[in-house]
Amino acid sequence: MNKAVSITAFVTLGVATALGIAYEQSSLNSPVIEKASFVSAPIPLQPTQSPSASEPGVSAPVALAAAVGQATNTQATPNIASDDTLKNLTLQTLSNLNSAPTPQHNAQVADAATDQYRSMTAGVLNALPSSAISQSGSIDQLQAIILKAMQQGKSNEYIDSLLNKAAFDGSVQVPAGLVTAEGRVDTKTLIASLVAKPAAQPKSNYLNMINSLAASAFTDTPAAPIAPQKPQIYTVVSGDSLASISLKYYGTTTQYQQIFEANLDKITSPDKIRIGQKLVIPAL
Amino acid sequence: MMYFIRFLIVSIFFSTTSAQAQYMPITANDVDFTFTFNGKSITIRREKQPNNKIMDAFVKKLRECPPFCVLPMIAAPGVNTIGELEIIDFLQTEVATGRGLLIDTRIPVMHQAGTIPGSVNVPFSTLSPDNPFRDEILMALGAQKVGGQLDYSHAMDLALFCNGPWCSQSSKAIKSLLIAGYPPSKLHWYRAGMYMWGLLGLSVRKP
Repeated sequence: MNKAVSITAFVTLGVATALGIAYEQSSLNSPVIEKASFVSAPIPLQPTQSPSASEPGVSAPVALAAAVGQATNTQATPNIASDDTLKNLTLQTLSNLNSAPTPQHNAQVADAATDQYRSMTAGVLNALPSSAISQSGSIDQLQAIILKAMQQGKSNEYIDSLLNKAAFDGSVQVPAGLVTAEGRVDTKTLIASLVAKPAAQPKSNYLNMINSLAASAFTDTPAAPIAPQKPQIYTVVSGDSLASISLKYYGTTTQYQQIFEANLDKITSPDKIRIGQKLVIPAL
Repeated sequence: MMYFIRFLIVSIFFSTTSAQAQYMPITANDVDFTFTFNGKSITIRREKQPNNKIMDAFVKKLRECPPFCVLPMIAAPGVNTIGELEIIDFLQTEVATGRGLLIDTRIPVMHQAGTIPGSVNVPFSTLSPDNPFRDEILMALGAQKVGGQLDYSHAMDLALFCNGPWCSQSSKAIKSLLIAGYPPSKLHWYRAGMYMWGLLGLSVRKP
């Protein structure tokens, strides 16, 4: 199934790329690979996550044929209609790509367009300087949500879903370093960072609760930091964010900026890391 | 061998000359313009490479209309049409102070392929009334929700562009903003777009 999904993604990606050129015949000098990595870059902050094995409802050849058919139509149809067709097609194509790893929603056009609008909007908000509001403030906001949910005895899946929903609503701003390679909020690291700062609230009941909850919910965090004495190479795996890598190596989430700066040749923004990417981890 | 030595001499000559000689002045008085955007210093220059040509994609004359129809000089009533020096001035006075934004309205792949330094990508379709999340973008641009209505009195000034006078993406974005209630006096249109920016050899950034 995964193979089918990835083939569909690959084919539709090709179509999207072709469309980008067809649309404006612009200055697309960069190789396809670069565009490919970008196309998947808008951050889909989806409120739910489901690793189910469903697949996009359209097979690769059919999707390709449909896409080509629509692309050809745009040559003949009038201005607005052609742009809209093209836009929807682009949106749908991109959305198919984004939905490939978490295909909970079916390939219905309306949903796909909404998802695409959502991820494009998230991408825009992330790029706008005004949305880079005080990062520490937004971490506090995220942590407040976690605390409240934990107090209510909610599961980590629930908290994860809640945070992603809040991020998607725009009711919280997620610092770029806390966005995983899959484009989701790195809930695990957020909770770990709560556990890692006991000095702030030494006698808090919350803290005891978090400590025990985090210990049971996320057994693989927090491990002792690696604290590299010289620069190291780390390969990004599923679920990583720059903050989680920072936590792993330095014992704190706040050094992610340093990792980002050491990898400026590979990462355009702290929330745009990819699985399999090799990152330089500088010695502190 | 002679060529190699000549090449060496030429490269040494070029590497020792000042920045003034490496770049074509932008105006009679200014070689370059510098401003701060997102905490980073950005300099706009004009290149001086005798053999450099405009990108292939911009060379062609044949563009099918529709959709690539020639656009009028005014995008919408009350919206100012501006040129390169006004863009630079806008970057220095409005963008650098956080009061304005230079917006690349093109689809993301085009923005990524090369854009005006200091611009941000807000693809035209995200401003469309069809986007259920549009208001989030408008609020990030400084609009405020007052009783279900968007109030733009503190919204940023925006300068918008796309590829050139045949590219409808920026004028669509402007029309969408006006539909959403954005005051035309806060909008500026760079009609000549990336085509003219590139033709003039002005700095292009790959995000």
